Amino acid sequence: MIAFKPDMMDALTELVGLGIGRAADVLNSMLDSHIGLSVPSVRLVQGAELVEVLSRDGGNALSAVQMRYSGSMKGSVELIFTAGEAGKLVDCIMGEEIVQTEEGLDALRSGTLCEVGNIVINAIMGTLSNVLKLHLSYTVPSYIEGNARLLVDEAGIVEGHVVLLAETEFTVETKSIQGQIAIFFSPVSYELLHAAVREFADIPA
Amino acid sequence: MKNEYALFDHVPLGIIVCSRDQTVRFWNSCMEDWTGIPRQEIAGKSLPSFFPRLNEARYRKRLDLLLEGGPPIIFSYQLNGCLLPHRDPHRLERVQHITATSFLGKDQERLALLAVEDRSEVSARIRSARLELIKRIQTEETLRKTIAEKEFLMRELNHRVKNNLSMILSMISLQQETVESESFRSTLEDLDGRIRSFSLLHEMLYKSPDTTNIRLDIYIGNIVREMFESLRNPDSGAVLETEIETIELPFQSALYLGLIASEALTNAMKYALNDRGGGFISISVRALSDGMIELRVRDDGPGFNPGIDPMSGDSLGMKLIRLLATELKGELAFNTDDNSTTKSGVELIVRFSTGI
Repeated sequence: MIAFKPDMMDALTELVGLGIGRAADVLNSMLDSHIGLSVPSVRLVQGAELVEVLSRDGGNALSAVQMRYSGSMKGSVELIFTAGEAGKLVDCIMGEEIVQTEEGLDALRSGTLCEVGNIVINAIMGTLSNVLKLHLSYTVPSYIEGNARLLVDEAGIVEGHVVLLAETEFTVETKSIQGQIAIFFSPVSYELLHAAVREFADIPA
Repeated sequence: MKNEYALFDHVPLGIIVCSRDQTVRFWNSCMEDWTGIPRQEIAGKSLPSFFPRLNEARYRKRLDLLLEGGPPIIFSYQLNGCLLPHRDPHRLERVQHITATSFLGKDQERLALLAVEDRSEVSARIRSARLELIKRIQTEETLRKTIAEKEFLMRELNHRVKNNLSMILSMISLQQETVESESFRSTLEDLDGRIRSFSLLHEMLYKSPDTTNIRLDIYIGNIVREMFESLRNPDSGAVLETEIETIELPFQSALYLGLIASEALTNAMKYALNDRGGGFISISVRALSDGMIELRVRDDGPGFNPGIDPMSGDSLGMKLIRLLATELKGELAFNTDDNSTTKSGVELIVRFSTGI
């Protein structure tokens, strides 16, 4: 895979940060309580490594909101939590008592996570596509749960796929919830992203 | 109303098609049922004029983005409540999950399609299950606290009982110093041993995190070693050998077995060693393959006097051993035959099931 130079990586991190900022604005206008959103780190990993990375963070029971995109680029985006963190986020947002369970979310709570994921993914992908002048269309968000392998398989990942992995921290009142945003790029889409970011950051080839 | 969307009248979802200015282009039969608004009435009208909440900036912004060709959006019930309620406010509120997508209609006009799922039934079941779960978690928490308090009190109680027994042992010890009669002194010595078995058990219970079970290797091992050291003649070469497996037993069974072991040891020391220059006593406790526990106390002394039947002997020690073996619902036996594995001396065997 073509490497992102440090300047380009900075630019990509800034774009994800911008998107997260927009997501926080939308979430705060939707909810009465204040939600903080931050992205402590952004990195690019090979698709094959992702199962290992997610498994390390408790990948046997994961909850994710997924949207596929196509157009200028093709791939999918997932907002991923461990089952426990997903439940905690929904309960915090709803101001309900936190019920710790490793068994995933029921239909009502998964609908809430779907809306939160939808807002976050739309904001990040909207920012990326606006700034990088990409034309993308999306499928309807869906909720999936399972282990790391299932989530990666659901993203339709094949040899050569690259994943932009952004650690995401939600802060609701005093509670902090950790998640990951994974944007899957096909090899061709990754090259397009590389070129678009290079142009955006005004870095010569 | 255009009939190009008539197929949507046959799906189990509420379907609304709107133009960019949120004018209703299609309203399917599900939406008629769920809102009480006939399509003739709403068609061609602004959707927010019937459902004013959609005029709020938070919804307008997201719908505007969608109608500019943005990604699909979701309005979940938990975050938004019922956005498209029945016009009769007395009707039951429906749990709606709305997914909005945009598409290009005739003449490349950008339109929004709102698919409304009714999750009322599943939601009611989830809510009651969730309430039940919360109740169970709270009950478990209360039980955990109660158990912790009970364990604390049990430890405290065992500590106090142990202290009281230590005081009784001190009094017996003082009494022994003033007694001249050898037989009374010996009686006090036996009594001391028995009380010591109780005292050690309560000490273990208050020191251990488990207030109900006792480890036999520690409990019986300590009792017999302590008793052997206090009763033996320091100049003799008497030997005690113990082989006690790591077995946990409930408080009561452990106490009974410990008392039997200490009575049998006292007897062996009195009658088998009996001031001989040396002698050998072995004590073993093991778990048998059939789930039984077996205690063996063996000595190399002269054995029972002729004519003495240990199963009916009337000494207090033997009476106690028989009584405690019965309490354990166990079998009691003695090997005294010279041809047996004991070669000489006496071997006491108690077997009982852990199921008591």
